[in-house]
Amino acid sequence: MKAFGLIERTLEPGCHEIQVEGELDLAVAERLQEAIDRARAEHDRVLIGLQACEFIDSTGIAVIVQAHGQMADAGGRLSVYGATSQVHRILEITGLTQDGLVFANADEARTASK
Amino acid sequence: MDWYLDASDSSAVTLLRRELRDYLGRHADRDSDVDGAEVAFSELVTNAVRHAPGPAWVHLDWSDRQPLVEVHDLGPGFELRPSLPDDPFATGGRGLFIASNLTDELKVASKTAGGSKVTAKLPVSRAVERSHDPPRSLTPSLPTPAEVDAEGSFGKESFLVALVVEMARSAEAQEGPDAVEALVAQVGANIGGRMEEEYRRARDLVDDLEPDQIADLYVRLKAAINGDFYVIEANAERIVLGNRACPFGEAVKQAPGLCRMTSSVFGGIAARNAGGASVMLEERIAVGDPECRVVIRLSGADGEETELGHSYAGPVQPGDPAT
Repeated sequence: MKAFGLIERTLEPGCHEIQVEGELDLAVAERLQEAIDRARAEHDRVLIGLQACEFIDSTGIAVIVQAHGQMADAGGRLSVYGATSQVHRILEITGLTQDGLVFANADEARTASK
Repeated sequence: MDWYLDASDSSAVTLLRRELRDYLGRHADRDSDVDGAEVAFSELVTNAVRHAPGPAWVHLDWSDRQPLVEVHDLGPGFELRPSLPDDPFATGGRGLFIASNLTDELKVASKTAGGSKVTAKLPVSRAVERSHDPPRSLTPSLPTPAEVDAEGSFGKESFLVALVVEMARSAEAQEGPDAVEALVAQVGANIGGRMEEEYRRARDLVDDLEPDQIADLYVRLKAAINGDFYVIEANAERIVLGNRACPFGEAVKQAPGLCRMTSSVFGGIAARNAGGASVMLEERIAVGDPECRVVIRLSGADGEETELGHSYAGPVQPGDPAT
Protein backbone atom coordinates (compact mmCIF):
# COMPACT_ATOMS: atom_id res chain seq x y z
CA MET A 1 0.00 0.00 0.00
CA LYS A 2 1.42 3.31 -1.12
CA ALA A 3 1.16 6.46 0.96
CA PHE A 4 -1.12 9.05 -0.57
CA GLY A 5 0.65 11.53 -2.78
CA LEU A 6 0.23 13.73 -5.84
CA ILE A 7 2.80 14.02 -8.59
CA GLU A 8 2.28 16.99 -10.85
CA ARG A 9 3.80 18.20 -14.07
CA THR A 10 2.86 20.50 -16.87
CA LEU A 11 2.78 18.51 -20.12
CA GLU A 12 2.54 21.48 -22.47
CA PRO A 13 1.34 25.05 -22.14
CA GLY A 14 -2.21 24.95 -20.80
CA CYS A 15 -2.14 21.23 -20.00
CA HIS A 16 -1.34 20.02 -16.49
CA GLU A 17 -1.20 16.45 -15.20
CA ILE A 18 -1.83 15.29 -11.62
CA GLN A 19 -0.96 11.67 -10.80
CA VAL A 20 -2.74 10.28 -7.77
CA GLU A 21 -0.81 7.75 -5.71
CA GLY A 22 -2.25 5.62 -2.91
CA GLU A 23 -5.75 5.72 -1.51
CA LEU A 24 -8.10 8.55 -2.37
CA ASP A 25 -10.67 8.84 0.39
CA LEU A 26 -12.23 11.32 2.79
CA ALA A 27 -8.97 11.94 4.63
CA VAL A 28 -7.11 13.21 1.57
CA ALA A 29 -9.78 14.26 -0.93
CA GLU A 30 -9.23 17.90 0.01
CA ARG A 31 -5.59 17.70 -1.04
CA LEU A 32 -6.62 16.60 -4.51
CA GLN A 33 -9.23 19.36 -4.58
CA GLU A 34 -6.60 21.99 -3.76
CA ALA A 35 -4.21 20.65 -6.39
CA ILE A 36 -6.92 20.73 -9.05
CA ASP A 37 -7.98 24.23 -8.03
CA ARG A 38 -4.40 25.45 -8.37
CA ALA A 39 -4.02 23.69 -11.72
CA ARG A 40 -7.22 24.99 -13.27
CA ALA A 41 -6.36 28.55 -12.24
CA GLU A 42 -3.42 28.37 -14.65
CA HIS A 43 -4.35 25.75 -17.22
CA ASP A 44 -7.45 25.03 -19.23
CA ARG A 45 -6.78 21.32 -19.45
CA VAL A 46 -6.14 19.07 -16.44
CA LEU A 47 -5.42 15.32 -16.63
CA ILE A 48 -5.83 13.16 -13.54
CA GLY A 49 -3.69 9.97 -13.74
CA LEU A 50 -5.01 7.08 -11.66
CA GLN A 51 -2.50 4.29 -12.50
CA ALA A 52 -1.12 4.30 -8.97
CA CYS A 53 -4.43 5.11 -7.27
CA GLU A 54 -5.26 2.04 -5.19
CA PHE A 55 -8.60 3.04 -3.79
CA ILE A 56 -11.38 5.46 -4.61
CA ASP A 57 -14.78 6.08 -3.15
CA SER A 58 -17.52 8.68 -3.60
CA THR A 59 -15.49 11.36 -1.80
CA GLY A 60 -12.72 11.23 -4.39
CA ILE A 61 -15.24 10.92 -7.20
CA ALA A 62 -17.09 14.01 -5.97
CA VAL A 63 -13.90 16.08 -6.16
CA ILE A 64 -13.19 14.92 -9.70
CA VAL A 65 -16.76 15.37 -10.91
CA GLN A 66 -17.13 18.81 -9.37
CA ALA A 67 -13.90 20.02 -10.96
CA HIS A 68 -14.93 18.47 -14.28
CA GLY A 69 -18.15 20.51 -14.20
CA GLN A 70 -16.45 23.71 -13.20
CA MET A 71 -13.83 23.39 -15.90
CA ALA A 72 -16.43 22.57 -18.55
CA ASP A 73 -18.42 25.67 -17.55
CA ALA A 74 -15.28 27.75 -17.98
CA GLY A 75 -14.55 26.25 -21.39
CA GLY A 76 -11.78 23.96 -20.17
CA ARG A 77 -11.62 20.24 -19.66
CA LEU A 78 -10.71 17.80 -16.92
CA SER A 79 -10.09 14.17 -17.89
CA VAL A 80 -9.25 11.05 -15.93
CA TYR A 81 -7.16 8.18 -17.26
CA GLY A 82 -5.32 4.99 -16.34
CA ALA A 83 -7.70 3.70 -13.67
CA THR A 84 -6.86 0.22 -12.35
CA SER A 85 -9.62 -2.35 -12.64
CA GLN A 86 -10.79 -1.79 -9.06
CA VAL A 87 -10.96 1.97 -9.42
CA HIS A 88 -12.50 1.72 -12.90
CA ARG A 89 -15.19 -0.52 -11.49
CA ILE A 90 -16.27 2.18 -9.03
CA LEU A 91 -16.24 4.84 -11.78
CA GLU A 92 -18.36 2.49 -13.87
CA ILE A 93 -20.89 1.85 -11.09
CA THR A 94 -21.39 5.58 -10.79
CA GLY A 95 -21.98 5.94 -14.53
CA LEU A 96 -18.96 8.14 -15.18
CA THR A 97 -17.27 6.02 -17.82
CA GLN A 98 -19.59 7.00 -20.66
CA ASP A 99 -19.47 10.77 -20.74
CA GLY A 100 -16.05 11.81 -21.91
CA LEU A 101 -14.51 12.00 -18.47
CA VAL A 102 -12.69 8.67 -18.21
CA PHE A 103 -10.05 7.48 -20.69
CA ALA A 104 -7.87 4.40 -20.90
CA ASN A 105 -4.52 6.16 -21.11
CA ALA A 106 -2.81 9.52 -21.10
CA ASP A 107 -2.63 9.83 -24.91
CA GLU A 108 -6.35 9.31 -25.33
CA ALA A 109 -7.11 11.73 -22.53
CA ARG A 110 -4.78 14.33 -24.03
CA THR A 111 -6.08 13.97 -27.55
CA ALA A 112 -9.68 14.16 -26.42
CA SER A 113 -9.09 17.24 -24.33
CA LYS A 114 -7.59 19.25 -27.19
CA MET B 1 -16.02 -6.23 16.53
CA ASP B 2 -16.92 -2.72 17.60
CA TRP B 3 -15.37 0.62 16.83
CA TYR B 4 -16.05 4.15 17.99
CA LEU B 5 -15.33 6.90 15.48
CA ASP B 6 -14.60 10.50 16.25
CA ALA B 7 -16.25 12.34 13.38
CA SER B 8 -13.76 15.20 13.52
CA ASP B 9 -10.87 12.90 12.63
CA SER B 10 -11.18 11.96 8.97
CA SER B 11 -8.05 9.80 9.07
CA ALA B 12 -9.88 7.49 11.50
CA VAL B 13 -12.10 6.41 8.60
CA THR B 14 -9.04 5.48 6.57
CA LEU B 15 -7.51 3.47 9.41
CA LEU B 16 -10.76 1.69 10.13
CA ARG B 17 -11.28 0.85 6.46
CA ARG B 18 -7.78 -0.67 6.22
CA GLU B 19 -8.31 -2.63 9.40
CA LEU B 20 -11.55 -4.01 8.00
CA ARG B 21 -9.95 -4.87 4.64
CA ASP B 22 -7.12 -6.78 6.34
CA TYR B 23 -9.54 -8.59 8.62
CA LEU B 24 -11.80 -9.62 5.74
CA GLY B 25 -8.77 -10.70 3.70
CA ARG B 26 -7.57 -13.02 6.47
CA HIS B 27 -10.82 -14.96 6.70
CA ALA B 28 -12.62 -14.59 3.36
CA ASP B 29 -12.86 -17.33 0.76
CA ARG B 30 -11.35 -16.92 -2.70
CA ASP B 31 -14.53 -15.82 -4.43
CA SER B 32 -15.13 -12.99 -2.02
CA ASP B 33 -15.21 -9.39 -3.21
CA VAL B 34 -12.98 -7.87 -0.53
CA ASP B 35 -12.26 -4.80 -2.67
CA GLY B 36 -15.97 -4.16 -3.14
CA ALA B 37 -16.60 -4.68 0.56
CA GLU B 38 -13.88 -2.16 1.37
CA VAL B 39 -15.44 0.51 -0.85
CA ALA B 40 -18.95 -0.17 0.48
CA PHE B 41 -17.72 -0.02 4.07
CA SER B 42 -15.91 3.23 3.37
CA GLU B 43 -19.12 4.73 1.96
CA LEU B 44 -21.21 3.75 4.96
CA VAL B 45 -18.74 5.04 7.51
CA THR B 46 -17.94 8.19 5.54
CA ASN B 47 -21.65 8.88 5.23
CA ALA B 48 -22.04 8.70 9.03
CA VAL B 49 -19.13 10.98 9.89
CA ARG B 50 -19.92 13.53 7.19
CA HIS B 51 -23.66 13.86 7.51
CA ALA B 52 -24.32 13.32 11.19
CA PRO B 53 -23.09 15.45 14.06
CA GLY B 54 -21.06 13.76 16.77
CA PRO B 55 -19.45 10.37 16.83
CA ALA B 56 -20.38 7.15 15.04
CA TRP B 57 -20.25 3.54 16.11
CA VAL B 58 -19.47 0.65 13.84
CA HIS B 59 -20.27 -2.95 14.64
CA LEU B 60 -19.31 -5.95 12.57
CA ASP B 61 -20.79 -9.40 13.10
CA TRP B 62 -19.30 -12.21 11.00
CA SER B 63 -20.72 -15.19 12.82
CA ASP B 64 -22.77 -16.11 9.75
CA ARG B 65 -21.43 -16.72 6.27
CA GLN B 66 -21.40 -13.04 5.28
CA PRO B 67 -20.34 -10.19 7.58
CA LEU B 68 -23.11 -7.86 8.70
CA VAL B 69 -21.96 -4.29 9.23
CA GLU B 70 -23.92 -1.78 11.30
CA VAL B 71 -23.13 1.92 11.39
CA HIS B 72 -24.86 3.98 14.07
CA ASP B 73 -24.82 7.75 14.20
CA LEU B 74 -26.59 10.60 15.97
CA GLY B 75 -27.85 12.26 12.79
CA PRO B 76 -31.45 13.14 11.99
CA GLY B 77 -31.84 10.06 9.87
CA PHE B 78 -32.34 9.91 6.12
CA GLU B 79 -34.17 8.03 3.44
CA LEU B 80 -32.29 5.60 1.33
CA ARG B 81 -32.56 6.50 -2.33
CA PRO B 82 -30.52 3.84 -4.03
CA SER B 83 -30.22 5.66 -7.34
CA LEU B 84 -27.66 7.91 -8.95
CA PRO B 85 -28.22 11.65 -9.15
CA ASP B 86 -30.14 12.61 -12.32
CA ASP B 87 -27.22 14.76 -13.37
CA PRO B 88 -24.30 12.39 -13.93
CA PHE B 89 -21.97 15.21 -12.89
CA ALA B 90 -23.76 16.24 -9.72
CA THR B 91 -21.17 16.64 -7.01
CA GLY B 92 -22.73 14.44 -4.32
CA GLY B 93 -25.22 11.68 -3.69
CA ARG B 94 -23.22 8.69 -4.90
CA GLY B 95 -21.99 7.15 -1.67
CA LEU B 96 -25.02 5.14 -0.66
CA PHE B 97 -25.69 4.21 -4.27
CA ILE B 98 -22.22 2.70 -4.49
CA ALA B 99 -22.74 0.96 -1.14
CA SER B 100 -26.11 -0.47 -2.20
CA ASN B 101 -24.58 -1.65 -5.46
CA LEU B 102 -21.80 -3.53 -3.72
CA THR B 103 -23.65 -4.98 -0.74
CA ASP B 104 -26.70 -7.09 -0.03
CA GLU B 105 -29.66 -5.96 2.03
CA LEU B 106 -28.66 -2.36 2.63
CA LYS B 107 -31.15 -0.88 5.12
CA VAL B 108 -31.53 2.40 6.93
CA ALA B 109 -33.51 2.70 10.17
CA SER B 110 -34.23 5.71 12.36
CA LYS B 111 -33.75 4.94 16.00
CA THR B 112 -36.46 5.99 18.43
CA ALA B 113 -33.93 7.58 20.76
CA GLY B 114 -32.50 9.59 17.85
CA GLY B 115 -29.85 8.87 15.30
CA SER B 116 -29.90 6.33 12.55
CA LYS B 117 -28.61 2.87 11.88
CA VAL B 118 -27.43 1.61 8.50
CA THR B 119 -26.92 -2.11 8.02
CA ALA B 120 -25.57 -4.10 5.10
CA LYS B 121 -24.20 -7.51 4.31
CA LEU B 122 -20.73 -7.23 2.81
CA PRO B 123 -20.00 -9.19 -0.40
CA VAL B 124 -17.57 -11.64 1.16
CA SER B 125 -17.99 -15.14 2.54
CA ARG B 126 -16.07 -16.76 5.30
CA ALA B 127 -13.83 -19.54 4.03
CA VAL B 128 -15.42 -22.85 4.95
CA GLU B 129 -13.19 -25.26 6.82
CA ARG B 130 -13.71 -28.98 6.54
CA SER B 131 -15.08 -30.59 9.68
CA HIS B 132 -12.97 -33.25 11.33
CA ASP B 133 -14.68 -35.20 14.07
CA PRO B 134 -12.75 -38.44 14.52
CA PRO B 135 -13.66 -40.87 17.29
CA ARG B 136 -11.25 -41.11 20.20
CA SER B 137 -8.64 -43.79 19.87
CA LEU B 138 -9.59 -46.97 21.72
CA THR B 139 -6.04 -47.57 22.96
CA PRO B 140 -4.97 -45.63 26.08
CA SER B 141 -3.82 -42.11 25.23
CA LEU B 142 -1.31 -39.82 26.90
CA PRO B 143 -0.77 -38.24 29.35
CA THR B 144 -0.66 -41.30 31.62
CA PRO B 145 -2.63 -41.39 34.89
CA ALA B 146 0.68 -41.06 36.79
CA GLU B 147 1.19 -37.59 35.27
CA VAL B 148 -2.07 -36.13 36.54
CA ASP B 149 -2.06 -33.95 39.67
CA ALA B 150 -4.59 -33.88 42.52
CA GLU B 151 -6.64 -31.23 40.71
CA GLY B 152 -7.06 -33.49 37.70
CA SER B 153 -4.70 -31.43 35.48
CA PHE B 154 -1.38 -32.20 33.91
CA GLY B 155 1.57 -29.89 33.24
CA LYS B 156 3.12 -28.44 30.13
CA GLU B 157 5.86 -31.08 29.82
CA SER B 158 3.28 -33.87 29.96
CA PHE B 159 1.14 -32.02 27.50
CA LEU B 160 3.97 -31.48 25.03
CA VAL B 161 5.10 -35.11 25.16
CA ALA B 162 1.49 -36.18 24.68
CA LEU B 163 1.16 -33.78 21.74
CA VAL B 164 4.24 -35.14 19.98
CA VAL B 165 3.56 -38.81 20.68
CA GLU B 166 -0.15 -38.65 19.86
CA MET B 167 0.66 -36.69 16.69
CA ALA B 168 3.12 -39.38 15.61
CA ARG B 169 0.68 -42.18 16.48
CA SER B 170 -2.17 -40.54 14.62
CA ALA B 171 0.00 -39.84 11.59
CA GLU B 172 1.13 -43.45 11.59
CA ALA B 173 -2.46 -44.71 11.82
CA GLN B 174 -3.58 -42.47 8.96
CA GLU B 175 -0.54 -42.31 6.70
CA GLY B 176 1.56 -45.35 7.65
CA PRO B 177 4.91 -45.76 9.43
CA ASP B 178 7.04 -44.53 6.55
CA ALA B 179 5.17 -41.22 6.41
CA VAL B 180 5.84 -40.66 10.12
CA GLU B 181 9.53 -41.45 9.72
CA ALA B 182 9.76 -39.00 6.82
CA LEU B 183 8.07 -36.26 8.85
CA VAL B 184 10.19 -36.86 11.92
CA ALA B 185 13.34 -36.91 9.78
CA GLN B 186 12.43 -33.45 8.46
CA VAL B 187 11.82 -32.14 11.98
CA GLY B 188 15.14 -33.65 13.09
CA ALA B 189 16.98 -32.06 10.18
CA ASN B 190 15.63 -28.62 11.09
CA ILE B 191 16.13 -28.84 14.85
CA GLY B 192 19.49 -30.63 14.54
CA GLY B 193 20.73 -27.82 12.31
CA ARG B 194 19.81 -25.28 15.00
CA MET B 195 21.50 -27.35 17.70
CA GLU B 196 24.74 -27.45 15.74
CA GLU B 197 24.60 -23.72 14.97
CA GLU B 198 24.28 -22.81 18.63
CA TYR B 199 26.95 -25.32 19.75
CA ARG B 200 29.32 -23.71 17.26
CA ARG B 201 28.34 -20.16 18.15
CA ALA B 202 28.93 -20.77 21.89
CA ARG B 203 32.42 -22.10 21.15
CA ASP B 204 33.30 -19.89 18.20
CA LEU B 205 33.83 -22.90 15.93
CA VAL B 206 33.96 -22.47 12.16
CA ASP B 207 35.86 -25.51 10.84
CA ASP B 208 34.39 -29.00 10.44
CA LEU B 209 33.85 -30.65 13.82
CA GLU B 210 36.21 -33.53 14.68
CA PRO B 211 34.64 -36.90 15.62
CA ASP B 212 35.18 -36.30 19.35
CA GLN B 213 33.54 -32.85 19.04
CA ILE B 214 30.60 -34.36 17.18
CA ALA B 215 30.23 -36.98 19.92
CA ASP B 216 30.41 -34.25 22.58
CA LEU B 217 27.68 -32.29 20.79
CA TYR B 218 25.47 -35.43 20.64
CA VAL B 219 25.83 -36.14 24.35
CA ARG B 220 25.22 -32.50 25.33
CA LEU B 221 22.17 -31.98 23.16
CA LYS B 222 20.64 -35.21 24.43
CA ALA B 223 21.48 -34.44 28.08
CA ALA B 224 19.78 -31.05 27.72
CA ILE B 225 16.48 -32.81 26.96
CA ASN B 226 16.85 -35.54 29.60
CA GLY B 227 18.47 -38.21 27.46
CA ASP B 228 21.31 -40.20 29.02
CA PHE B 229 23.68 -40.81 26.10
CA TYR B 230 27.34 -41.77 26.54
CA VAL B 231 30.21 -42.25 24.11
CA ILE B 232 31.37 -45.80 23.46
CA GLU B 233 33.66 -45.02 20.57
CA ALA B 234 34.54 -41.92 18.50
CA ASN B 235 37.07 -42.07 15.66
CA ALA B 236 37.41 -41.04 12.02
CA GLU B 237 35.38 -44.03 10.87
CA ARG B 238 32.52 -44.10 13.31
CA ILE B 239 30.93 -42.81 16.48
CA VAL B 240 29.10 -45.29 18.70
CA LEU B 241 26.81 -44.08 21.48
CA GLY B 242 24.86 -45.85 24.20
CA ASN B 243 21.76 -44.42 25.89
CA ARG B 244 20.05 -45.31 29.13
CA ALA B 245 17.07 -42.93 28.99
CA CYS B 246 14.88 -41.68 26.15
CA PRO B 247 13.98 -37.95 26.23
CA PHE B 248 10.39 -38.94 25.36
CA GLY B 249 10.30 -41.31 28.36
CA GLU B 250 8.25 -44.47 28.34
CA ALA B 251 5.84 -42.83 25.90
CA VAL B 252 8.24 -43.43 23.02
CA LYS B 253 7.17 -47.07 23.03
CA GLN B 254 3.79 -45.92 21.71
CA ALA B 255 5.43 -44.10 18.80
CA PRO B 256 8.74 -45.74 17.91
CA GLY B 257 8.81 -43.70 14.71
CA LEU B 258 10.12 -40.87 16.90
CA CYS B 259 13.51 -42.65 17.02
CA ARG B 260 14.00 -41.20 13.57
CA MET B 261 14.49 -37.88 15.34
CA THR B 262 17.75 -39.15 16.82
CA SER B 263 18.82 -40.61 13.51
CA SER B 264 18.10 -37.39 11.64
CA VAL B 265 19.70 -35.04 14.19
CA PHE B 266 22.82 -37.22 14.52
CA GLY B 267 23.02 -38.02 10.80
CA GLY B 268 22.62 -34.42 9.68
CA ILE B 269 25.34 -33.15 12.02
CA ALA B 270 27.74 -35.95 11.08
CA ALA B 271 27.11 -35.54 7.35
CA ARG B 272 27.72 -31.77 7.41
CA ASN B 273 31.05 -32.26 9.20
CA ALA B 274 32.33 -35.49 7.65
CA GLY B 275 31.03 -35.17 4.10
CA GLY B 276 28.23 -37.71 4.54
CA ALA B 277 27.14 -40.27 7.11
CA SER B 278 24.89 -43.20 7.81
CA VAL B 279 23.11 -43.89 11.08
CA MET B 280 22.08 -47.30 12.39
CA LEU B 281 19.78 -47.55 15.39
CA GLU B 282 21.20 -50.88 16.50
CA GLU B 283 19.30 -51.17 19.78
CA ARG B 284 16.24 -49.14 20.72
CA ILE B 285 14.44 -48.62 24.04
CA ALA B 286 11.39 -47.71 21.94
CA VAL B 287 10.97 -51.28 20.68
CA GLY B 288 11.82 -53.02 23.96
CA ASP B 289 15.64 -53.14 24.14
CA PRO B 290 17.06 -52.25 27.58
CA GLU B 291 19.19 -49.41 26.15
CA CYS B 292 19.72 -47.66 22.83
CA ARG B 293 22.87 -48.17 20.79
CA VAL B 294 23.48 -45.86 17.87
CA VAL B 295 26.24 -46.32 15.30
CA ILE B 296 27.10 -43.32 13.12
CA ARG B 297 29.41 -44.18 10.20
CA LEU B 298 31.32 -41.20 8.91
CA SER B 299 31.85 -41.43 5.16
CA GLY B 300 34.46 -39.04 3.81
CA ALA B 301 37.70 -41.02 3.99
CA ASP B 302 36.83 -44.57 2.93
CA GLY B 303 33.40 -43.79 1.51
CA GLU B 304 32.07 -47.09 2.83
CA GLU B 305 28.41 -47.57 1.96
CA THR B 306 25.95 -49.64 3.92
CA GLU B 307 22.35 -50.36 3.06
CA LEU B 308 21.36 -51.02 6.64
CA GLY B 309 21.53 -47.51 8.11
CA HIS B 310 19.85 -44.26 7.17
CA SER B 311 22.02 -42.28 4.73
CA TYR B 312 22.69 -38.55 5.05
CA ALA B 313 24.44 -36.61 2.31
CA GLY B 314 27.23 -34.17 3.00
CA PRO B 315 27.16 -30.55 1.87
CA VAL B 316 27.29 -29.98 -1.89
CA GLN B 317 30.82 -28.87 -2.82
CA PRO B 318 31.49 -26.25 -5.46
CA GLY B 319 32.17 -28.11 -8.69
CA ASP B 320 29.97 -31.09 -7.79
CA PRO B 321 27.70 -32.10 -10.63
CA ALA B 322 24.28 -30.53 -10.11
CA THR B 323 21.74 -32.98 -8.75
